[in-house]
Formats: sequence, structure tokens, C-alpha cells
Amino acid sequence: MSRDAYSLTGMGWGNRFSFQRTLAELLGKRWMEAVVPAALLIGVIAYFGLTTEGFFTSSNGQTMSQSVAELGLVALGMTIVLVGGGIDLSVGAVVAVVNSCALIMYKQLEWPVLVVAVVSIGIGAAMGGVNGFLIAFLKTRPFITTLVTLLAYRTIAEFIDEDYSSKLALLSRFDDSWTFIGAGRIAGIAMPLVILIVVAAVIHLLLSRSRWGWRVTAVGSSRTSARRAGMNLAVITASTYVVSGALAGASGLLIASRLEQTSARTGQGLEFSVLTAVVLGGVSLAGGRGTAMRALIGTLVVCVISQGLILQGKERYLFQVVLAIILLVFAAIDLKWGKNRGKAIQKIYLVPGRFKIEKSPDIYEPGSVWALNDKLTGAQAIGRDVLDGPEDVVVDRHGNIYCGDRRGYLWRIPGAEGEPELLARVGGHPLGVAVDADDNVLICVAGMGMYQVSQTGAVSGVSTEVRRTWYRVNDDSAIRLADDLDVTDDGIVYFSDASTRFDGDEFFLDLIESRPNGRLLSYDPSTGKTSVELRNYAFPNGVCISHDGQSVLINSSNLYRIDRYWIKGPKKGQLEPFAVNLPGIPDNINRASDGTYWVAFAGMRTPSWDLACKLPGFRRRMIKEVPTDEWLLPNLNTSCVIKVTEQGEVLESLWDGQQRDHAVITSMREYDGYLYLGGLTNNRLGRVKVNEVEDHDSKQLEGAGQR
Amino acid sequence: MNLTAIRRQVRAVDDFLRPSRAEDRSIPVLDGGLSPNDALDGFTPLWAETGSEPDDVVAVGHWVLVSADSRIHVVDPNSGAVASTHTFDAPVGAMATDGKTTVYVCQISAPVQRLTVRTDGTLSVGETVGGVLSCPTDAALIGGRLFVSEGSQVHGPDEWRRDLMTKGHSGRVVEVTLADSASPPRVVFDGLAWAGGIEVDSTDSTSLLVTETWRHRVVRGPIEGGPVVQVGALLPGYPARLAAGPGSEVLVSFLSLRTHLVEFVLREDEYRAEMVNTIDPEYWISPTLRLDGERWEPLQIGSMKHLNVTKPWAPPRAYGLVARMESDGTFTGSWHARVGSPRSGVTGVTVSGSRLVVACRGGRLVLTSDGEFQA
Repeated sequence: MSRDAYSLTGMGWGNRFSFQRTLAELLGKRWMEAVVPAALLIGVIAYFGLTTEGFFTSSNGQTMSQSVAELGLVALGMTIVLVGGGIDLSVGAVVAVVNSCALIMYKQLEWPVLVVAVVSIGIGAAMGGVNGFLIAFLKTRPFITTLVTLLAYRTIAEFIDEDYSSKLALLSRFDDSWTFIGAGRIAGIAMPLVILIVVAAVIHLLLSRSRWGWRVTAVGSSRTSARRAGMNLAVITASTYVVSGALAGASGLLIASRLEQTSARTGQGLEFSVLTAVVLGGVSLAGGRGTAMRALIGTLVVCVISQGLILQGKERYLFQVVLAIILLVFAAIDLKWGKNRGKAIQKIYLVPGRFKIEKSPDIYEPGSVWALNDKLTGAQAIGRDVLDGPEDVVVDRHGNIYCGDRRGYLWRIPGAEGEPELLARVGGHPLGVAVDADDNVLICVAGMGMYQVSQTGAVSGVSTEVRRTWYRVNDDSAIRLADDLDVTDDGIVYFSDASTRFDGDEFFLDLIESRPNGRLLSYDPSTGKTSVELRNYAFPNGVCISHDGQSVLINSSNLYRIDRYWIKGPKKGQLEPFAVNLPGIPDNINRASDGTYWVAFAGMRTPSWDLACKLPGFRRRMIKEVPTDEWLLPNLNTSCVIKVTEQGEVLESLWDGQQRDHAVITSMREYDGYLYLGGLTNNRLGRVKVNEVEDHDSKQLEGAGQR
Repeated sequence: MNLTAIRRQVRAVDDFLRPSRAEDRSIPVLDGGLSPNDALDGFTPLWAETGSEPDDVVAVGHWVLVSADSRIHVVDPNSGAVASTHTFDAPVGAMATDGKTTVYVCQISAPVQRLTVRTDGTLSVGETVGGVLSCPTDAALIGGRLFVSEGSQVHGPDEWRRDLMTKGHSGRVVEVTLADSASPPRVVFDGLAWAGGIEVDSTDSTSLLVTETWRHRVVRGPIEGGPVVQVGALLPGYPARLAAGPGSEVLVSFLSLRTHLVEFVLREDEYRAEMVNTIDPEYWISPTLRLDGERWEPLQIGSMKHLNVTKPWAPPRAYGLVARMESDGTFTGSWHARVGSPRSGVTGVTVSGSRLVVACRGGRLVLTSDGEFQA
């Protein structure tokens, strides 16, 4: 069970929650798109339930389930066509033709019911196949093609109707299974509804889980991309029309078994109702977006309105007017929302909060430990203009130096005089580097998690996800901003995930937001499990195992403090302050050779920044009104390294007082009497002598980060 | 609810819906005659002295007079050699000259002093004239009459940041009565948001050009007083001292460029009030003459160094810029220093012979163009 570090922020419970942030995270969820139609469904059911007599009766339920099934099957077919980037207007006519044909087969030819069913669906599929062939292979426009076939099929239906309608009305045949299709029940549920549910489940699986479904979605989203990905556009497109035709055929069969008569008016205007239903449900007319579930919700709304108006004894044209209005409104919403959803989320995603922060110590006070000096000026440059952004640096027991690179590299440098050699292309910016007992390099990679690189340069993932927190809207299972790590004697890796909301290049957004979005994780190699040790931590950055191996020291870059988390001994599991209210932004922390700790300040707090931190509204308006390049930050152009005792007392600070070479210092390692300096945006590593070393013993090596 | 309040509400809603379209949120780009270059970085240092900040320069005869704090140095524009130096009781705020031998020196909170520059570069101090001015920023001598711009009646010249961040608008232009030192100065224009510079309109010698620094514009008004009209408006920087340029042009020195963050803080009353009351002005979010790399200086994202380099698109909190303006407000050319260059914060400019001499207060040196500047 993880420990909550929220109290470090000094803020009350109310500040844990933000309506705006929750809303932004909710809007990012795909399933949220069904919320509006679902609410509308509840609304119309409530309305007709309250105002219309006989709405909640079993006979009405039977009627409703028949019409829902007939409309729903067609809607599912339409959904597939729309997701595939087309449109099928001929469905109503297909229903009419299949209806007539089914009755002829059943009544006049007296075929067995199963054969009638299969052939009926086959006729529908064939008619859809004609659409598909014209559109996919002859490259005609879907809209105009299906409009033409709508007229053609409608004419066929009228011919059949003229010739057979009167004959069929006189014939009569009774078959249990025929009646069962239209009016039977399974476990109290009307047969048509059962058919619909089964078909919907199949369609859902096909669209969301099958290769075919993914390809249909891909074609609908972007034909060009789908073609470049090697998909056979014609076959995929044609198949959607075949499925649509087959489902329209099934719907026609249901109508035939229910009415047992042909009529030229069967299925007239059905395409209009179906389009309204699916668009209402959130299936996009632009293609690529839609699910079976949403098509069903839309169908239910349309059927409830239709049935409700019939029960109220309203004229039929009123239903058409209502449908037209709904179609208009939702088609507009579909267009606007589909286009602007990302922008809307982006506008409200960042919600500045605040921390309780004390006034910074006065670094200009004469004689203070913070006095500017030139101890780091003139540091020996390693890999100058070869390295780009070595955030962290580590030296192994052989004297090899390792550091990351903004371009996603891991460098190995054989000693301070050596030339950097590319050990591995990791794919993300390594922010924390450590070496384990077997000389494998463990790295925290921004946006990826914790990885391991062997001495031969083989990269393998070690820890890339944790269990998702069930009550959070945002999926926090991914390790978004792995920042720094350290390994205990037992081989357990403690590492920080600085933010669950922002990626590596956007670290400043987390600073501006000032909310505890980070966490401390641990990885146990014996079980291979990663667990959350501390949650709600404000930008945990540097991580370091204490000299006695009993605790972990964690830098909070956003709260300007260092905390000690006990991992062993009597205080195990406790979190206690180590050094608080620092005047800079603590980045990495490492052991020094003399039993103290080195801490790098990535930058300094400034009075203007501290004031901005007190005013969330100021920061909120700033990010809205001011271009990103002009946003206020703490002073990340002046850095230093400080030395802290085991009791958390700051002993000294080391500066590049001339600000010549190291604009930012985010990490440092002591090795063999030298301090190695890394920086997030620097073009080099630095090396300065810190103290004279009498003998080269293992105690020194311990200071270098390798245990 | 009155109409103004309703309008403000509508404005607030509109700003929320379309934040980038709000009227006062845009800063004009540097284009046309103000297109950026790095010409100032190519200028030759003419004069510098440890610990002193050159503030203004005027050309008198062969010589260039450099004012720095309470001293005036007479400098040879060819060699940079100092011919003589005179120390005043109070800091020098502004100088005006007839171009030949006479210079009027406006001291801060002290009387105006007349100087004569001899041909050998020595100075002879004449009588004091007129009354005491608390914040003289620039002066112009027109037909034997002395006009002085005053930045503010509340703050001194060195408190210009405070005047900007408290939205001061008490600047004025006065005429100092040369004949009678007892009579108070005559107010020509007042209510200006920091009158930072003054020069005669060379196309119409009965008009004055005055920079209204905090409103980013140059205005023109009659010598005898009356309403002013905008000449160059919506400038991308803070125009300050003016000097006569070649032909009918004037030379405009800019304290710095406007930035979105400063404009934003000017709208944020709560933040600004607390900043002004609790923070040392050196560390304010405000334009400045130079960046010292102090640890408490505010920093913006674009100013973060990458690979040890300040990017040229970094927000110009300090910037070096002198521009040539026609008297109708058209800019015909300009000299810039790259963002991050030490040659920022130009406060004075003059033409000496065929050369341009620039007082770069932020860089603590006086610069000169090599050869003719009209290339």
C-alpha cells in the first residue's frame, strides 16, 4: 500500500480536487462521447413515461422491441459503412425487397424457414454487394451511388408488390419457427431483441477487436494512410456494404415474419431514421469513429420518440420533423466537437494549484552559505559540443563515464580524457543513470520508464508500468516521467516518476501547475514487480539511498525540499523532512565520499516566481494570454551544487559564478576526488577537483553512485 | 449596472472566448524600418569607464559630451580620448545644445546650468538658469528657447521602472525661462505617461516631437502648448530620448522592447501591487537596461539557455535599439543588438560629423559607428 505524500504541500483536502481537471480528463476519454446521447435517451424515456399513458406496458414493450430490433439491425450496418468512411442510403429499399422475397419464399414456394432466412440475408448481402462493387471497384461516390440503388431497389420492390401482393394476401401458412422469429421469447426477452443483442455483440467484437474492424476504422479515418500501410482499400470498403446489406436483409426478414404481408411502403424513409439514430449516437459522418453500442443508444432514442408520439396520437409528420431537428443538431455537434475536442481539452487540461511555501532564504545576505563563488567556473569540459543535454552522469568502478542525451542516446566515455562513444540509442531522453553490480547501466527514460543497457549496448525494458489507480480518471499505469533512480544493496531500485500528467519536454508545465502529480516507485528484481511507494508527491526528482542504506532521500523540485523515506529499520515506511525551504530547485542528489550528500540546484527560486506561485489565478491567466516562450519560470539559467550533511544541514555551495559554461546543473557525481557535472540543456559534462584523495579505496567508489 | 460595467463584462466574456484577439494583447512585430539586425554589436567602443554608466551623448562642434551620473566628459569622437571632465553637484538628467558651443545641462533636482565648450575641448561653466526640475529626461534648444521633458512628477529618472509598473502618467514638457531664473517653468504639455524624449520637428519649427514612453508612441504638439497628435504609435518598444538625425529624421533610442509578460503583469493588478510593494525593483518583471545574470532575475521559458546559448528569440527583457524616424512617424532604419548581447539599454544617441555615437547605458559604454552610418 502506497503512502500519501500530499500533506507535504501544506494544503487542505479541498485542494486535492479540481472540477476543471476532472472534466478535462473525462473529456479525454472516448467513452465520454456516448454520455450526451445516453442522457438524451434517459430524458426522452422519462418524458414519455410521465406524459404518455400506456408507455410502460408489456404490449408496448413488445412493439418497441420489434421496432428497435428492425431499426437497430440496419443501424448497425450503417455504422460499419460510416466507420469505413462511406454512407449507405439504399438500406430502406433493401429491407423492402427482402421483405417481399422472404414472403414469396415462405408462403408461395413454401421453403423451409431456415432456408428462407439464409436466402433472405443472402439477397440483402448481394444487394449490398452491388453497392460495394460500384463504390469500391468502379470508384463511384458512395452518396450518389446508394441514392441511385435506393431508387432502383425501390422500383424492384414495387414491381414485386404489384405482382405478388394480392396473391400473398390470400395464401396462408403456419410454421412455429416462422412465428418464433417475429414474436417468440427467450428467457422473457422478445426474439427480435435477442437477435439484435447477439448481432450487436458480434459487430462490437468485429469493430473493436478484429483485424477487419481495425482496418475498416483505418480506412474511414484516413484512406491515404491506410493505403500507405498496405491495406486493400477496395476489398475493405466493399465488405462494409455487403455487411450493411446483409443486416438490412435480416431486418427485412424480421418485418416479413411480423407483418406477413408485402407493401410498397415497407422501409420507406428508413434510411433517414437510421442515419438520425447513428449520428445521434455519436457515429461520425466523417468516418473512422463509431461503435455498436452508440448505434444502439441512438436507435433506442429514435424508437422511443417514434413510439411515444404514436401513443400520444400525434401525426406522423411530427415524428419526421423531430427527427430532422435531432439530425441537424447532432450532425452539427458531430462536426464541431470532432474538430475541437482536442483543443477544448488542451484549453482546460492545465489547472494551476498552489502549495504553501515559505519565503525563500536570502541568498544575498553577506556571509551566507549561498554566497556566489567561482568554484565550478573553468571546469574541465568533457564531450563538448558532442553531448546534447546530459541530464545525469554516472561513473562506474572502471572509471567509465555514462550520460544521457536529448536525442535519445546513452553515451559511454572512457575516462575524462576519452572521446564519447555511443553505447545505445534508447529512443527517449535518459534522465537518471545508475550502474548496477553487474556493470549494467540502469536508466530512467522520459516518457518510457526504467530501462537497462548492457555493456554491449543491448537495451531492454525493466519497469515500464505500474498498476493503475482505480479511482483516477487519467490512466496512470504508464510511467510518464521517470526521472532518477538509485539501487539498494538488495538490488531493489527506487526511482521517481516526476509527473503522471506531463511528459519530459513539458516538465515546466508541472512546475507551473504546482500540484503534487508525481510519485516514488520501487522495482523489485526478484518478483519483477513495480509498486508505488509514495503518491501525490510534488515533482519528485533526485533519488538517493542514504549512506547506511536504511532510507531514501527524495528531492521535491516543486516544494524546494528534500525528504527522507525510511525503507528499513524501525521507522520503515515513515516519511520525514530532511532539508526544507531551500532557495533553489533541487534536482539530483548523490552520496559524497565523506558521508555527506551532493545536491544539484537546477535553478534558483526568484521573488517573481515565488509570488506567482502564491497566485494560481495569475498563472492560469498567464498560460492563456501569454505565448509559451514568454511564460515565467524560476531562474533556470543559474545553477549550483550544494553539500548537505546527514542531518540535512547545508555546508557549502559551489557556483559557476561567471556563468560561462554551465547554464544549468542538474546532476553531479563524485568520483576519485572529482565532481562530474551534468546539465539538462548543456553541451558538455564538467569535471572539477573537489578534494585531494589520499588513496583510491572502495569508500570513494561508493560516493560515485555504484554500490 | 451602468453601460461601462456591462461593456466590461462583455469584454471579459469575449476575452475568455477569444483571448488572443483582445485588443490590447498584441505587440507589433519588428518589421519595416525596425527589422532586426546586429549592427550595434558591430559598433566600436568609444568610451567606457569602470563604475560609470554613460547616460546621454550630445555632439557640440567637434566634440561629443558624455553625461554619466553627475559628470560630463568631453570626448574626441575619433580617438575616444577625454579632453576634460566636469563634475556637477547633482546627477545630470538631460543636455541640450545649439550644436556649436553652448550646452544647457539639466540636473536632477537642481538648477539648469549653462556650459560653453571651447574648441580645445575644455569647458567653461556659465550661469544657472530657470527653476529646479525633479525628473528631466531630455531637452531641446529651439531658437534660443529651452524645452525639457520630464518623465514624471512623482518619480525620479532612476525610478522609471516604478513609474511604469504603477502606470504613472504625470510626465510633462516644460519651457525653462532662460532670461529669468526666478520664474517657474512654463508647462507646455502634461499628463504624459513618462515623457522620455524631446526634439524639434525639423519640418515645422513651431512643433515639438515628444516620446510618451509608457504608451509606446511619439506625439507632436505646438511649441506654445495645446493638444498633441500621435506621430508614431503602436511601437514595439519603449521609445525614450530623441536626437536630431540627418535631414528631417529624428533618432529614437529605445529603453527596451515590450514583452508579452510585462504587458500581462501590467494587467494583473494584484500581482503587480504585491511585486511593487515587496520585491526589489531589480528583480521585477519589467523591462530593464541590462541583464546581469543575477540569480533572482526573473526568467522566461524562451530565455533558457540551450547548449550554452541564449536563443535569438528569447524574450527581450533588455534590448539594444536605436532607430531613425521620419517626422511623419515612418521608421526608415534601425540598429539592433542581438538578444542576450551586453550592448543593451541604449539611452542616448547623437550624430557627430558623419558618425553615429550611441550611449549604451546597459552595456556601460559609448559606441560609435565606423565611418558613415548612412550606408
